Amino acid sequence: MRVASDLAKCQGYGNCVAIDERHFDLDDDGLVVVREEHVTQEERDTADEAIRSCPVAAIWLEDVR
Amino acid sequence: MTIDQSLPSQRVSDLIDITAGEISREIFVDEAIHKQELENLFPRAWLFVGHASQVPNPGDYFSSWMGSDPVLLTRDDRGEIYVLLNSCRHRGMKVCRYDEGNTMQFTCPYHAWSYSIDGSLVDVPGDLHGVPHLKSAYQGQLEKAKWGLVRCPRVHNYKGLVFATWDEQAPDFLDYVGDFHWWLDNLADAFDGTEGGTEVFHGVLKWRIKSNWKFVSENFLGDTYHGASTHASVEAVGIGPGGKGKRRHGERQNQGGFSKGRMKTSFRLGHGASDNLDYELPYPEFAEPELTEYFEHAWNKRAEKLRAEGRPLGGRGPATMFPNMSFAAGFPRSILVAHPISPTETEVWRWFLVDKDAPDFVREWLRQYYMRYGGPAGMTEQDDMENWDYATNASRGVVARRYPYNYQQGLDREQPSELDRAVHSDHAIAGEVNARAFYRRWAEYVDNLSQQELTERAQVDERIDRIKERQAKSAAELEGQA
Repeated sequence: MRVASDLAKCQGYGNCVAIDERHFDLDDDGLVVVREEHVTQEERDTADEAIRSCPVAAIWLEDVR
Repeated sequence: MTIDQSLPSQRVSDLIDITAGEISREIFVDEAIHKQELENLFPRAWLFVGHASQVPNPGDYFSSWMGSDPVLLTRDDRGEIYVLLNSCRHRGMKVCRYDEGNTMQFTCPYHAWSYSIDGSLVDVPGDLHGVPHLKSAYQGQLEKAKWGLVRCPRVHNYKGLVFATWDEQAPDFLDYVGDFHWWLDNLADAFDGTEGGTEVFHGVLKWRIKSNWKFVSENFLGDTYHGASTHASVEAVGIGPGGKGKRRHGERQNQGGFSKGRMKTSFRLGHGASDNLDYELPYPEFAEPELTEYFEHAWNKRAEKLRAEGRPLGGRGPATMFPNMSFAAGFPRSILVAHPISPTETEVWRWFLVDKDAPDFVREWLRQYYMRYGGPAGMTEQDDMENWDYATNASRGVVARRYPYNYQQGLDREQPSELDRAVHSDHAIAGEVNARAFYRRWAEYVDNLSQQELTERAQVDERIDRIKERQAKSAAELEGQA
């Protein structure tokens, strides 16, 4: 799986970063930056929690094609 | 009686003379008293918020009101019920503007502060979960735990009926209700006596009337006196289960042998009912035989269950739980909350209950009966609203306000009761003992007696002592004659 994001939706809550620093960060405008796209099986639970914590659903997981 | 009219600094108890049976009209129209009610009564009493069946699944919510405050009844991911103030902690915006729905978060439309009811993401459901630009707006320093939605500290789920109070010092719900709980049981239990076997049927009817909220509470509290005049046209049409020529609630007490005699029941705690537990009124005879058969079966099953428990079968209301939750536990089976808007405006909400396992033909029959009976378009409700509106309008005048209302029915004619701190009326139709007790309790709250004082005052019901004195006196008189 890999992480995807939509900057038009992001409002810089930063919840994702607080939960999963490996995959998410904030840029200078305070909006989400995907640091690492790839999510391993071991990292899946943490990434899911970060995604669930986003109030505006600006991040999600998708299959690697 | 002379009622002191020098408002607003006086105590409202000065406007209530229950010994003489006179109550000032001011309590139904005055702005200052209305404000005192909002401040001193509604945040300190137990109020009906909604039914658990309205929020069956995690993330379900139902928007309600507690006095002057909008609240959300929610269910979290662990199945727990919460009551949250529906107002953002940042600028007070109503965080949820829908009547009901499902979501794990409430994101404020104004600045997008977001609150979660997912217990796996926040410490307690309702906590502040995120604010936009936490990093730049608050340097990441905002103490989220301090800025969650205000949580109602006391919530009690009574067989699906959800009550709440803002006051940490308020008595436990069961102490607040006392023996009046038998009426709540009959409301919450299924027609066949299955405990808590009811659910809300098809949403909630909501409408506004130009009248004080207490008119509504008092009407259901035990005013059976208005039925014959107010609801004459409804009876003429025959909107009840039996159709034309039968009563609107399906009563058949005049058909003989069913009733042990009806009396009203009045509690020192302010609650009241139009009937008593020994008044055993079987379910109606319907125009449709399959409905008669269904309800006869339910009645027999309930009778068997309750008799085995040593419980009488009566106690169907109409009734009012102090201060503003009214209901009837029979035909119709419905809850009615009178939300105070202003001294002369009230928003009335009606919930209708149905047995969880009721078959479709019963649901459909009840749906039609409930619609023609209650709500803004219901015929019985329209009769009542007409009275309350016109009574309010004709009571607010300068001269009208000089003259108190009369509450003298059955003064010093109360009858003893088996129930704790309760008395009965001596007549099924006449008798304003319930209203007198209601307004006394009302004044104790509105005059802002402490919770401890409120509890202490209600420890004794001096009406019972007066009944005993009266009985002793008449016994002595009889002896004197002999």
